[in-house]
Amino acid sequence: MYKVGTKEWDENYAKLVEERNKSESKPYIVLTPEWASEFEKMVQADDRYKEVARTWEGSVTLVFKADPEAELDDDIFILLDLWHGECRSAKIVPSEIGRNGDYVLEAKYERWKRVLKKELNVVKEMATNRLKLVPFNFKKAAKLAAAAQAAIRLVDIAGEVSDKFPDELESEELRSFKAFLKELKTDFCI
Amino acid sequence: MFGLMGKILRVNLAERKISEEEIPEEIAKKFLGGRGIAGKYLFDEVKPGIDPLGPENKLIFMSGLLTGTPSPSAARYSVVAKSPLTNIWAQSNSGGRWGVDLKHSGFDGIIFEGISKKPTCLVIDDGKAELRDAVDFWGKSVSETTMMLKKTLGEKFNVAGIGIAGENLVKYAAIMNDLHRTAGRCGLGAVMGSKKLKAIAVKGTKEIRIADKKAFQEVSQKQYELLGESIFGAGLQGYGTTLVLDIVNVCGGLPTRNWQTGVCSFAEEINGEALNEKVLVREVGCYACSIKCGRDTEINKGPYRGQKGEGPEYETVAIFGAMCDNSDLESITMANYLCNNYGLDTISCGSTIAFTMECFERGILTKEDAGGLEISFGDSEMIIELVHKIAKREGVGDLLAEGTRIMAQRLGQDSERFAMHVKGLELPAYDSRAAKITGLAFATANRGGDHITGYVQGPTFLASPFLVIEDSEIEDPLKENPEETKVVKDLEDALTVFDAVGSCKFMGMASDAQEICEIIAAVTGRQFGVEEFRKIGERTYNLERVFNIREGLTRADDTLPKRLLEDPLPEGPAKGHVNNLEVFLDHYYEFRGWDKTTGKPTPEKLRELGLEEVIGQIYGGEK
Ligand code: SF4
Repeated sequence: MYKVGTKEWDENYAKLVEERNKSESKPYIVLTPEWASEFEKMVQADDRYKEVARTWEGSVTLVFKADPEAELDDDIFILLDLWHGECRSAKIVPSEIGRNGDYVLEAKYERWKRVLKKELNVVKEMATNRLKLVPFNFKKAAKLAAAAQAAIRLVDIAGEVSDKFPDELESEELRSFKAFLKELKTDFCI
Repeated sequence: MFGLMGKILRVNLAERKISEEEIPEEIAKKFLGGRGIAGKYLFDEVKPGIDPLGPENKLIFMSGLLTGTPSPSAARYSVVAKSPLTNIWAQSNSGGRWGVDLKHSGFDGIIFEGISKKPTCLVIDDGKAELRDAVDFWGKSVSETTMMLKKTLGEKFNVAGIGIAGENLVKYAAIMNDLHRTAGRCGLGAVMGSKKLKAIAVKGTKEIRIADKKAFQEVSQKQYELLGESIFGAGLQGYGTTLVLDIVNVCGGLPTRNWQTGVCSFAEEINGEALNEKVLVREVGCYACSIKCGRDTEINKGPYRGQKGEGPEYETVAIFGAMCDNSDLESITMANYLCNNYGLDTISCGSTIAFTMECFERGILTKEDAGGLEISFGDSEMIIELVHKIAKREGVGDLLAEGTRIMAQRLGQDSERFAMHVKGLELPAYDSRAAKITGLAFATANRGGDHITGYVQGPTFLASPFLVIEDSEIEDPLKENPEETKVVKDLEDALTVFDAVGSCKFMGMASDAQEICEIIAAVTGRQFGVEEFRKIGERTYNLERVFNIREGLTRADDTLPKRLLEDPLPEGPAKGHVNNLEVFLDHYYEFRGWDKTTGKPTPEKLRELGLEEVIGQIYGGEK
């Protein structure tokens, strides 16, 4: 098991992404490191995001709450390191790292899925507290409100990543996805 | 009556006569309060074709049904009259706490008729009203008048009144209350000035009766909680309304250099963050509002150092800033203070100045015309000088005091092309070429070019749907989807009810219609459902439309400035876009039940809304 927050953890996570980029074929499964990495690259390459997020400072954690019915047994944390229009990294991380993100947005898996599929409006979901800022903090909430267009663009990009959702997988694929999550837990404390 | 006090004052200024009237139950039921009831009286009592600044115009103040109750953010009153700026129906409303104090003084509203022979003011002290001489206040600023009245009457009196701009009949003069709060749009301060009515001071202890206190408490508590954890509530508290400046700018819709572009290169120098850093002292709010989007400010550097006041808000910053190509936040703040003290609408005032700057740039207006002034974009000192001149109608200020429509008519040379108004009302700072549906809302709003009539900027620029209507999603702001015109209609109707009950429209982003209906039901003690909510909004909106049709308005008036229709935006995400209004209009009229050729509400629609008595007024018969 790699110790969370160490160089070793980071290096091995990078290695894992590299391997899975080779071994896994697209479309990637949402919530896997390769999906997060693909998302990161697409955000980085997006001029519109650079423009609308040029004043944004701070990491954002998306917490997908566990939902066994949707084949998600544990909470999953995606940490986006965002800074002045750059996406410096997008990673699946252990909870203790995810919870330390500057802005932690939490929702049920199903809700996130509908947001990422653009069936729900991300700003409306934040405004009505269904994507919940945890803990709620007035200053941070104000910054989120001001970043509405950046949030919309991130969701647009996520929609452009060719992907599939865990609860949409065929049984064999689902089994291997779940096995992989177990490995992540063992090796990376995720 | 529950919620309402049930009484209004009728004040004949020419005869100096004051009488009390009860609000008929049926009117209260059909129009609720505020804009609804005031509009009904105006419609019934003001004949078409009258001079807005003459004795036949009436000026009607009316607090909302919920105003003064502890319902969140319910502090507002409406003022209606025929507008001297647009020559059609006018409504303006304002928060603070004057509307609340008016109700506590025992009255929901006041109807002013005629013209006083000399300057006067109305004083209402706990149910007793009298007209007093105001000769000494004439020529005084809003703050001086307020202080003098408080000194004479007592600190507990709250004052709404006009400054010098209203006295001088500047066409976009505002009515100010609580010193810094503004019923700004449509020039109702000039109507007040024409009546020689300087101020209304109110005080009182009368109780607003609530039918079901327990239910009321529960549902308003729920709303406070909702607001307490809303990112928009937090955003408004954190940055005031300037929260939206960056958002509008990144959409390419922040009107800059009199709408020559929608991208402002210096937005970061005048945005919410900058305002907090440079001038904010503390957040302030209206009565019973936990959001507190108002700003107590002080200028800390430059020639206006030491000046204090409230604001500026988004519109003021965007217009005296981006629209005038002025990146100096201190001068923007100063212009705002001056407008408040002179009693001027910052939107119309700043827009008129931006229009003047472009006229100069194009040689349509010259130094000689302007009495030796050199007027150019970005000249912050010139902006301040022009505000003074407008309020005093001094030199070129006399021309600017007429607003952009009249200016363009007088100047000619195709200046109408970039005179940014609809029906005479200067447009607010959202370029509709960057969010197409907002152009429809500008073109059709009953009071002229306005954003808050059906704040469709929420679902477009801010990407945040309004919960108060069932579906306010706008798929792609840069596309013209005729089906989405229903969003404009629904928002216009719903927000009309907000003006009738006196609630802040920001509440419409956080609470749904059902919750608002529950509050109305708890206050009034009668069953009140979403269907009735929508119908009252639609009824009021249509009555206002009939008022305008009666004044001669047709479909041809539901349009936009040529610049928006023909000149593509030169840069930014909306580069190349113009407004194609015709794509929307037929569909909008169809959703509204209005005749597509004439723009009149059809007799069937008017009947459906219980307005059969007005049909004859626009379809022959009684005029
Ligand atoms: S949100 Fe702002 S305008 Fe609305 S009630 Fe509160 S302080 Fe007043």
